[in-house]
Amino acid sequence: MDRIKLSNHLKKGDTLFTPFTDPDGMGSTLQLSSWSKNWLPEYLWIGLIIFKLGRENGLKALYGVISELDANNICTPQLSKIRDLDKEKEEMYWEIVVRYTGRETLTPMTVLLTPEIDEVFYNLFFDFSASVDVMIRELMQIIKDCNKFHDELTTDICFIVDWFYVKSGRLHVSNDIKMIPEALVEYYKHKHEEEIMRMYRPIIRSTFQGLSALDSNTDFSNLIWNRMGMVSECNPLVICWEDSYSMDYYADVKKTIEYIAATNEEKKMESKYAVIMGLTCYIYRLYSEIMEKNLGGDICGRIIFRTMVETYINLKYIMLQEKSVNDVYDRFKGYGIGKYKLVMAKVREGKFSVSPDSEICEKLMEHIVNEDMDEMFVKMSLGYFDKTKINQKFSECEEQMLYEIYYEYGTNFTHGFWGAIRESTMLVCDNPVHDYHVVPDYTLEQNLKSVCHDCEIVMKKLFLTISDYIELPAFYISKYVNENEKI
Amino acid sequence: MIEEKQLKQITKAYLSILEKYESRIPVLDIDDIKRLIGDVRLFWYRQKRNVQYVLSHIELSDEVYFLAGAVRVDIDNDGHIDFVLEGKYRIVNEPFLKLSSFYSGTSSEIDFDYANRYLKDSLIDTIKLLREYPGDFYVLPLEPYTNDDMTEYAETLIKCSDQLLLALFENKNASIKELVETYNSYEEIEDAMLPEISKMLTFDSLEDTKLTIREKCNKYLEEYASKLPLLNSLTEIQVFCMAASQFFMQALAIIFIMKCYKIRPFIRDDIAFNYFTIVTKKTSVMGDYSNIEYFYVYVPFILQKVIDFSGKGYNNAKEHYGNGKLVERVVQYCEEQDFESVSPNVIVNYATEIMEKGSSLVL
Repeated sequence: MDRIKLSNHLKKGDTLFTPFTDPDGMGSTLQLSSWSKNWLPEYLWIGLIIFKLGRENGLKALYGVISELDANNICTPQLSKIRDLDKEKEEMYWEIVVRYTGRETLTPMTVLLTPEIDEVFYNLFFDFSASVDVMIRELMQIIKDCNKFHDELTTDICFIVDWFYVKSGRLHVSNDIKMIPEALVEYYKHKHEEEIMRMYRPIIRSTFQGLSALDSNTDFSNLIWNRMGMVSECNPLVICWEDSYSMDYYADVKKTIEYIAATNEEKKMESKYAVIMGLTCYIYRLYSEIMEKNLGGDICGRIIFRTMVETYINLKYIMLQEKSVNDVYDRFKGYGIGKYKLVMAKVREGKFSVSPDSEICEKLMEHIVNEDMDEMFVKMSLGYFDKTKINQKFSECEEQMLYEIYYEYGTNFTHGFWGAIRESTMLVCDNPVHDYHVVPDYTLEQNLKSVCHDCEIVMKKLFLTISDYIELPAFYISKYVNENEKI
Repeated sequence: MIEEKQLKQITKAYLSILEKYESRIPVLDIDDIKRLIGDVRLFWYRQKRNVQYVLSHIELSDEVYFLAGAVRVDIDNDGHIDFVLEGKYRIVNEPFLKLSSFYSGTSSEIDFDYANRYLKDSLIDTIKLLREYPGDFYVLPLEPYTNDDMTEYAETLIKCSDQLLLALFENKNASIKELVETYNSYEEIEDAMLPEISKMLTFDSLEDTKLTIREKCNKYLEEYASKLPLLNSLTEIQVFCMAASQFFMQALAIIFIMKCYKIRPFIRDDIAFNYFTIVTKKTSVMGDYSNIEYFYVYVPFILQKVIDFSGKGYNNAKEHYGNGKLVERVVQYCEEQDFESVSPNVIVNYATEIMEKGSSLVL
């Protein structure tokens, strides 16, 4: 199915509407109706008979049932309507059904049609020897078999419902339309595999569609779905992603870092070196944690990766600023230390009490804040570094894709937005009666597609960026740096 | 540690289901029974995970006892007073799931009047127990109750019981079918059985040890043939196998619950206790079942059998000796005396001595 492009959405206020949800267009009149949600519960008993007796015997038995019901003027297929009959009439209705199908055929329905819903039905069909789980299994199978309107069992049910209306004289077919009578008469004689059924099935279903809305009771259907949901268990599905990833590139990164550490003695006293290699090592450390601790498929892998991206952008942005702001590296350090000072001072001044077992070590923070100069000279910025928003930094670094795709995707995980929760922690339930809801992954089985490949991209970008200042080993350049990117 | 809050919530919800049928008790008919059984089944089906959670979190140190070898506590005969002496928590195995199996049979197999009466009595007893003694007693299904689990459980019980039955004979038969084909009369069975075990097997009363197998089986038929009409059509060896299997399976079911959930059985019935002892003491089914654990079952059995606590009243008995106080003291005493040398008289005398001192027991 073609998806509606973003450009075809209509912007009204802060919302993008599809043509189907436009409140001034189709959205105001369109009503969604689902076969399984709205109609199937009414006819589940018919499905059960066909399912348990087999198609041929089931349809035959139901034809007999319909004829006899019609003779007694109680020819109606909807469970909600049958339930509304007088007690004697309802008893007569189901006794007729029993004569053709046997009592045990409809016993599974007692799980749903409990005495509070239909006492007559329950008393007639309850079986002490029937097991609840077996009955639920049978009902689930039918619901699975006719979950979609185009399923074969669904069409068989539609055929029977059509006949209820024909027999009771509520469906009249014009002599001018030949196909409907032919389909109604011939349908049961053919197997679903036969070519002719490709023509009959849509006719049977479209006839049903015209009738079903007449007598179906959506409240009753909702009640039955609720019952079914209550008695059946969730069947959560886990998506299993490959969790192994080649360590080759990571091994080369380790060698490269080793090379950089050994070959930059002359720069070690420079602020620029401290900041560039500090940020580089921070990114390397994050990458290493993902790789060494096999976090590629974990939520924290994504959160770590997003931090790698953000740190990389900070680094690239500072290096770009260097041309116009010659003390940018000291400013960057000062900005960060100011941020630390703010937290440390709040703890020190007792604004909040922090447990000694907490990650916060006030003494260490104080030491860091006072490392370069006494804290009385350290200012604290409450805004962004260089007063530049993060998306603008990505833009100036010409890394818009990193921002719009990777960083924004990662934001879902760092902020615990629903998309991330859904992907990582919620599982779709395969139980058709639960309407494919999602359930929490209590046993923590869901993993995620690995971030290792994306980490590689960022690490390559990082090395390329710092290569203006830091010499990279020859093996790395020949292996990973394209000719046109070489320095 | 036991999840008491969950246990209370489940029991409360369960009681509210039973109470729906309370007004119908005087006129309870088959449609009411269908509704009751259907309601109870669905309730436990929905609570399956919750029940499993509660049961799997019980530790032996929680001191949980379950009523074994009986369907109901029997408040009218002060069964609740005997039961409240045991442990810190007391669970009754859900009665109606079990009783529903009666109604699956035909009238040639089951005495429905008896079944209806029994169900009605159980309903009255359970409602009274949970309503009047909340927090003292709980109800949970302790045996499997879904079809798949039940099939596996029943097969395991039958298999183990068959093995125990075959082990009673000096000449080893490969199967129960072979056993049934080998012997024709009670006398032939008696001659072929290991003498010590033959004596221990009783089907009606503990005092039947001196009876012949024929006499024991006849007593069994007298007791059960009217409730299980099927017994009338069986051969002598089949009757014997059925009787022995019935009690072995009951003992195995008790042991299954004990082992699965770290809870102790409170057994009142002589025959059930006899088979429990045979299986735990004379076979390797229980593996390393310690003397002290056995005495936590044995002492309550002896006390309820010999001492009449009903005269003390429920609250008095619970306060002074209940929640395991008396049993713990007696078991400790038995341990000091060496378990092997302790007779029922020693247990009763020590318990009586403690009670005559007239003070509350503090553990």
